Amino acid sequence: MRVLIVDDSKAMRMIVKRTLRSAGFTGLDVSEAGDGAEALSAIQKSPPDVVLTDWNMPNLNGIELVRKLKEQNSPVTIGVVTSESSAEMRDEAVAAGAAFFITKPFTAETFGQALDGLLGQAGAGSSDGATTQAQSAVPDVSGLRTALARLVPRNVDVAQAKSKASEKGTVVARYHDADGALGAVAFADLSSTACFGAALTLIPAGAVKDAVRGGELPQNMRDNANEVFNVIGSLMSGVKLAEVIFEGGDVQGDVKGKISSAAHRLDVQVEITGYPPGTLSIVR
Amino acid sequence: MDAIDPAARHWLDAAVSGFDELAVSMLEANGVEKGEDTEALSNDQCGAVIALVPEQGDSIELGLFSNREGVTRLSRALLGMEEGDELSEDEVADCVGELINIVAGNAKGANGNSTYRLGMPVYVAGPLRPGSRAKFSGCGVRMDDIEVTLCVLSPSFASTKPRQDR
Repeated sequence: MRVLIVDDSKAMRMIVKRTLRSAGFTGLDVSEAGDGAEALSAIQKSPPDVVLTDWNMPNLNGIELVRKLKEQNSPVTIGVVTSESSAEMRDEAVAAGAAFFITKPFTAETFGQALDGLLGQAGAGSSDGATTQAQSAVPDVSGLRTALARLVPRNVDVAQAKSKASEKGTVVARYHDADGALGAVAFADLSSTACFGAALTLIPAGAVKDAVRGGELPQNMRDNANEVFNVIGSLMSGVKLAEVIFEGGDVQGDVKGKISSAAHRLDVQVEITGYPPGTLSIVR
Repeated sequence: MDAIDPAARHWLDAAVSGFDELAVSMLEANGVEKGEDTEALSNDQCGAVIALVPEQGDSIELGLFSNREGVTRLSRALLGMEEGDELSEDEVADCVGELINIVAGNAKGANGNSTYRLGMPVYVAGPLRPGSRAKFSGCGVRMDDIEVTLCVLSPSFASTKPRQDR
């Protein structure tokens, strides 16, 4: 499921993304635009399934964007997320063709109620993004780069790592197949996982150092890292993210067995602008 | 007698109510506590203002101000960040602009003033100096231990002398 968030406030775009995740809409392929004109151009190039637009923006405002899309008979579902709370403006938006109207301030519950029928099944582990991603046994470098670039609001580069990632002190994501058996594993050290988790909502790099020094990720980084591992899962056929084990320690048990007997393996170095480089391994 | 004229008082009360709703729903606070009225901002306060423009008549502006630490903490709360996380001034400006946008949208709705349109929020990095053409009416508000001033800027002639040039 592809979602376009349109708001001239970068902070608000980030908050809307976070709220979508909090409402249980995970695995979405989310892109952003800074005003209505930019959104219109992006929609014409590659239409998303759902657009969430602010009302009060420069260039082309939200209601003008709704009207333009309706004039063009666009099949895109569009909703307005705005601080304009009057009944008249709500009516104006609906009359112009908006499918829903969310008033700021909002909560995850507000998003859940407005979007549940539109964004498919809510809940952790939903992998609607998989429908627009090529799936394979393990992702390739290019596919992983594209998926992470869509997820993280900074420049992302993914390259084949020169050496295999360490199996000590790791965070492990377990992916299970339809029978509940361990089908694939992704693992990264605490520092790399903290970077992925921090970059998703632009938590400053200083917080990564603090987390690594303390040996534990704060909840917001864990939530974000979960989303990164969830998206990685959406790139793999036949498995879904079952759990992420943040406690670190050396890999052992069935995870160690899966790593040593892997038929497929990808080791990559991930560089996100503003954060230290990280490493990630995926085995199957 | 109230030193703040009734129209400004109406907007201020609506802004406090809007900020309270924002604090509870998006800033993870327990709400806000209304404090004393004030006739001016202090020199260390920065924040953002947004215009509310009616179809006819004079526009007003609503503002949200705090000291540098206060606006940074409000921004962190909006972004779901931890205490001590760093933010650039651009990020703070973006967040404070969004805060006053939400407060003003709610104040407008609470007042039933659907004919007013919101302008674009403007960040004020230093002390606000309204000048002689604008009347400042403000009140203190406390969210947790962050001291905030919400204010209304209205034309200084509006409540005493109707405009003849329209």
